[in-house]
Amino acid sequence: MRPALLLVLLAALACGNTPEDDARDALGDTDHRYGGGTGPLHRPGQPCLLCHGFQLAGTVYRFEDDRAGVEGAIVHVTDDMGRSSTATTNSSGNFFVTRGGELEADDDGELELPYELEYPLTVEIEHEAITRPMRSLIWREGSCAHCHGPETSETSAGRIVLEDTP
Amino acid sequence: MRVALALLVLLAGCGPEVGTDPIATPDLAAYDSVHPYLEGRCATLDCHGDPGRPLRLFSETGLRAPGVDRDAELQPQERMANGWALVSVDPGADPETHLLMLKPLAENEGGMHHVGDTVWATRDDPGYRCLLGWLRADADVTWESACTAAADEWSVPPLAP
Repeated sequence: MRPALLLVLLAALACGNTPEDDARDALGDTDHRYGGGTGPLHRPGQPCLLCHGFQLAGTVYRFEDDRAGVEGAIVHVTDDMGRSSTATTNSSGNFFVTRGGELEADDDGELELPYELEYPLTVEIEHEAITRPMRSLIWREGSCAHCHGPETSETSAGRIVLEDTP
Repeated sequence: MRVALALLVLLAGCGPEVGTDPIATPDLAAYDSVHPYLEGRCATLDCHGDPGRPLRLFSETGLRAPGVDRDAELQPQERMANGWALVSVDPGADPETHLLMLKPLAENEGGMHHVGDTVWATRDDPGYRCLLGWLRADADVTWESACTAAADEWSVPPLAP
């Protein structure tokens, strides 16, 4: 009896959360705008790759204080091999780059690439007459919100925005 | 049992000497020579600007020290913290075998596995020569031209007006 009990205890101890589990849990039920659906519009501004196997994904806003993202913003991505591609944000401002069989950009925010992006990545956003390059390179993180959190702080560059707040 | 315990205590006291090597103290006066390269190549928020990763580096476009505005230029406390973080990767080690020099170096060049992948394919890389010169606090300042070359390739461009 005792060895069996010990085994159960050991098994329970081995079932701890990973940091990714904790990060997902920390997001909680915060998809207020889109009501918690699982489509391409959901959870704008959140770190997409915590749950999804995208290559790169994020949300573009016009101003940092905006509650909704910008539809139709173009995200130019160039990888270390010099391959350039563009994704277009959907109505919640989301875009996401996936790996697929052929190059295909959809109006739901998806850009399907027939190759794996090679880091580092150079990124520029464009909308109407505005273009804004990201000053630093992306070296390893595919979730834009990992570095571009909802608030600008010591650990976050703030949202991806087309314009600084006037 | 007591003898074994005494032996264990003695062994625990036999660590390497720390603080006797010249690079146990960072050359903070020369830190600005290496910073532009480090900011662009190492200190982004998704690499060593992530406070959860080893070798935490502060920079203007990456992690900021508590209370520092995001757009402020590098502050003295950030410069000092970076200098100490760099040498503290491997306290007291010789510059050539310092973990700071081996982790980014290609394994077939004598380097070590680096989660952020190989940074320097060879020891001729300007970034390698830049950091090594700074670690050595070389009186011969030719290493600073390596820092300039490394920064030309990797530094973060200034803010557009």
